[in-house]
Amino acid sequence: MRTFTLTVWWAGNFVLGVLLYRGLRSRLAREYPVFYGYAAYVLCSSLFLLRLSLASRHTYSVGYWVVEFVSVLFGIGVTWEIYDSILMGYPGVRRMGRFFIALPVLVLFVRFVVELADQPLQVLLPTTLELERNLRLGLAALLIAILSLLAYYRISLGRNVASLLYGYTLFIATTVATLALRSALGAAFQPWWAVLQPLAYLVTLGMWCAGLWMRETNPLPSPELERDYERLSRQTIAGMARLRARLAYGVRS
Amino acid sequence: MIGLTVFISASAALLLLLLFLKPPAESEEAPAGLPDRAIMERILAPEDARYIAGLRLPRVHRMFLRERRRLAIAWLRANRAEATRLFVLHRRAVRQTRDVSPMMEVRVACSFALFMLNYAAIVGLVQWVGPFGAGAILRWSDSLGAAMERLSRQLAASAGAPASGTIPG
Repeated sequence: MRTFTLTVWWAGNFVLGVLLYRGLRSRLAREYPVFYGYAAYVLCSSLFLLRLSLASRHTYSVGYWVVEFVSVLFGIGVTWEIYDSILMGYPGVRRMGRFFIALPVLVLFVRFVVELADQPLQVLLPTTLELERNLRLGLAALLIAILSLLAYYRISLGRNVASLLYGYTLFIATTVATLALRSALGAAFQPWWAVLQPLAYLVTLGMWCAGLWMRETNPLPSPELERDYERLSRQTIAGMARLRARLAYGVRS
Repeated sequence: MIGLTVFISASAALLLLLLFLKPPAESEEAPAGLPDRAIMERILAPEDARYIAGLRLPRVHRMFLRERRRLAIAWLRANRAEATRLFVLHRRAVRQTRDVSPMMEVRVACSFALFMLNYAAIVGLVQWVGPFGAGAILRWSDSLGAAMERLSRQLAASAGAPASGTIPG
């Protein structure tokens, strides 16, 4: 197990180094500063944790969770950067995005207020594992909203931003599942966690490295005439109603 | 346990969205045109059904019904394709519009969902009882609806009218 962990650790750091090098060479680091900042932070923190692991187990444990917490905060920034980059040329979808992203935030806030009304504050304070799991769940909700908007409005993605989005989504999906199982099953899940988490991370790094190897511009939508939105929507609704009536009329005739 | 289900569901939803997120195909927006209503009238022509029934050949009758069902479903599918194209065009047009209203978008999505619900119900009916049977059921539901409307109008009129024999003032 130790050999596996060490191999994945070194491989991860190597791919991260390559990713950062390519980011600087292709000038993608200027286009996605938060993402490359995140990658640099992960590489530095990985080396920092190696140094801590040589000290006491307690010091390493505290250091690990602090690093993870900052990484989650970086994750929020990366998600925002992906959202901003994809929807740059789509003001209508951005507006819808704000609405759909506000919904999960509102739900989480209402849930928190309801729980606070019933229990004392100390009971609500989660463990570090639970805190990270909950923050990652928030990120998952944001990514679900972004992916749903992309699917609904059929937005084309460039190679760079697609690899960023797909890789990060895969990483968050596996992290949320493994953290939830770790929290629910306890130490029994630890050996699985030790394998699944680094593997998912390595696959994500591979996707990022392949997709961000060279710079490719995002496909921008063709400039269209400004339409009267209200009129267009009413026409669509009326068209749907006519088609609906047509269906029944056709079979009835 | 509920908490674990929420986390696993979120994770599964993310992976499913990744799997089903495909690049948009521009060809889907090409207009195919609405099929003529006269075609459906011809498919469901009662004289054809009467003629085939008059032959008293059960195998031929079964083939006729099967073929007409197939044609009726093809006509319905062509209408669904047109509705889908309209919906796709709407979403494509509003992507770059600045004054998008989330509520209006929900209304448009609901109108499409309602169309799809109608479509599924009518296709199910055609599959189940055949196109002639489906037509008969729809005509019957129409007349039932009209009868209910007449009845409710009468009830409303009688409730609103001053009852006979009341003492004024």
